[in-house]
Amino acid sequence: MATPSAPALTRISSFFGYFRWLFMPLGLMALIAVGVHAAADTVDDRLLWLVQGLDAWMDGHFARVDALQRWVDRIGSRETTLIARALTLVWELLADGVLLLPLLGYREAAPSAFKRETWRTLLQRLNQQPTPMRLIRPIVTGIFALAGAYAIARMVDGALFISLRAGVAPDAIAQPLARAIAFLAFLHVSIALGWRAVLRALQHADSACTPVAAAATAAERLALLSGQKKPTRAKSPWTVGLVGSAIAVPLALAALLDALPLWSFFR
Amino acid sequence: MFDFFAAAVCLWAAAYHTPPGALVLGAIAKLTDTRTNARPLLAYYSGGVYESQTIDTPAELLDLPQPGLLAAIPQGPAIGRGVFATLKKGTVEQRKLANALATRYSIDLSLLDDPSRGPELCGVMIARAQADLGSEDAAVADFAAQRARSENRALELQVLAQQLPPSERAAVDSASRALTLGTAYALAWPVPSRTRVSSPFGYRDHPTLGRQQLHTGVDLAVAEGTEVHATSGGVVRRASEDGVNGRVVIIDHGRGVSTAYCHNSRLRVVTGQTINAGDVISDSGNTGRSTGPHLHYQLELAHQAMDPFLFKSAHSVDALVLAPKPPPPAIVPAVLPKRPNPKLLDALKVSGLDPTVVDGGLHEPDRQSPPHATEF
Ligand SMILES: [Zn+2]
Repeated sequence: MATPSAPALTRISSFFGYFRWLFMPLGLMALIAVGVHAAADTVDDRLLWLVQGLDAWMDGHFARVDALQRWVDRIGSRETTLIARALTLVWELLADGVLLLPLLGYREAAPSAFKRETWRTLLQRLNQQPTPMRLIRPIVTGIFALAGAYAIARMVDGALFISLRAGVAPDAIAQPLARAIAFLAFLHVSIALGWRAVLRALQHADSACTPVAAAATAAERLALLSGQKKPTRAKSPWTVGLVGSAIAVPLALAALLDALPLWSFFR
Repeated sequence: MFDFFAAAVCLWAAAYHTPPGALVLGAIAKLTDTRTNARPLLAYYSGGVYESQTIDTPAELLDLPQPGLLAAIPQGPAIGRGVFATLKKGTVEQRKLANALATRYSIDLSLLDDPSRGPELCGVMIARAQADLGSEDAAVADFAAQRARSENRALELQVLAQQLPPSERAAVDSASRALTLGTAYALAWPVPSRTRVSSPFGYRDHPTLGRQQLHTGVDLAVAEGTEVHATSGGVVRRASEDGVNGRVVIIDHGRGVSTAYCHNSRLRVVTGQTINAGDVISDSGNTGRSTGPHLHYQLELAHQAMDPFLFKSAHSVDALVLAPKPPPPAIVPAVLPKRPNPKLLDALKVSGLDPTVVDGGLHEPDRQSPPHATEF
């Protein structure tokens, strides 16, 4: 009875294979977006303290001038909180822009001519010319991928536990089961999507750092094909992408510090 | 195919748990003319759990019999009152949650609604859940508590809420309301509780503008130099001076509750300092936009100013304030001028009973405010 099901499975899997071009870039973007948000969520409290300190300082100065006193009343705790949250939101969206858009250019089935554009060649060039962008972007993307995978696993855990407990299984079974599946989800998401996101970030950084003169390289043509790279770029490979990195690095540090308690799976 | 599932799970999580996801969901909803349950963008950050609430003043709780034995109401029973007040609002989710807890701790469901037994039973229920699970917050989301504990994170609702699927949103909302109210019920009073109120909370006629304006706190007529006590533990969010509020202390008690103390003569805490309930945070005074020595005490729930007296009913005596404390401070003579100003001496003599003393802190001064004693 196993034989008839095999072709069905193959058909399903080729059906999904057909749509990989669509769901893989979207999945990668979603993973990194979740990671970036996990980090931003830990940053907002710190921003709030900054804004409140600034508000207290400004109140002290504004209140000396009669015409400005109304502002002391107007900017209250609700306003400072809103400002801090809005700043966090803008920061998060900027980081998303920096890290997510390159992922849109993710392609798996590259024409055979580009096949050798792999980890090895990318890492070789990184070794020859370790520009900030080549170094920072993949690392930052990797951190966000892990933080994202962790946050996703936690949600899987929660959703699974609550639905299992709703009459299906006692807590003693539902709890470890949900956690085990969540851990598998974490591993699966980091392995299936995480490394691809890092590879894509490295590809993107590499093509951004490659001077126009070398446009004949495979990476360059790949980037041109995917629309990631504009043909005219005269910037030094050492300064390219610094602004984007400056936006993303503090968030990545926050993710590393606060949003990645991996050991919690084993407690 | 496995890659597809991984991608699908990522998309699900991103759609419901990130602001970009909310943007995309919102855009889709707009295009297809359907409704979305995505939250407001700014509610995706941690404190949003409490701050997305509008807290209704639970006026009905004022009629409840007082827990006479308890002076300053302890945290547990206070949270019980908060849960009870939220139950009265009666969302289905909150009800389900409370019923499940009550069943677990063998508490009669029908008594939860009873005005005389309800608050107490809710308190018992929460206290037992706290003993079992490690925190009051955990009682409202016990599954997430186990997870948060394994991460070594605080068992706070805003942490726990991140671990719950979107379907639990409503339960988290009502839990946050209960915890906010409960935290407010546990507040003590900043000065001796019999202190006269020179201007109560609420709308009052503005003498010069000729329109109604909200007085966002209560003005407590205390003599300059009176010790001001933190009404609950927390972190000092602000200890600074400006021309309106004078020397002001704002304390964040967590769970969306904060209190402000304005017009002080001296601050005894600094921004960022962690303090306990009853700690002396300042000496009262007459700084800022104020017409006489008094303390403007303000309570905010989810950034919304509330009448502190609504939450004072729980206290029968000033236990926190009258708890063993050092003798009266030598600060009063210190602030007197070399040749005592007779007016100031008078003010000190009547010990802040002058009803004309109001402030301009967080509102305009109002000299026509009638004497008002809002003591319960
Ligand atoms: Zn006032």
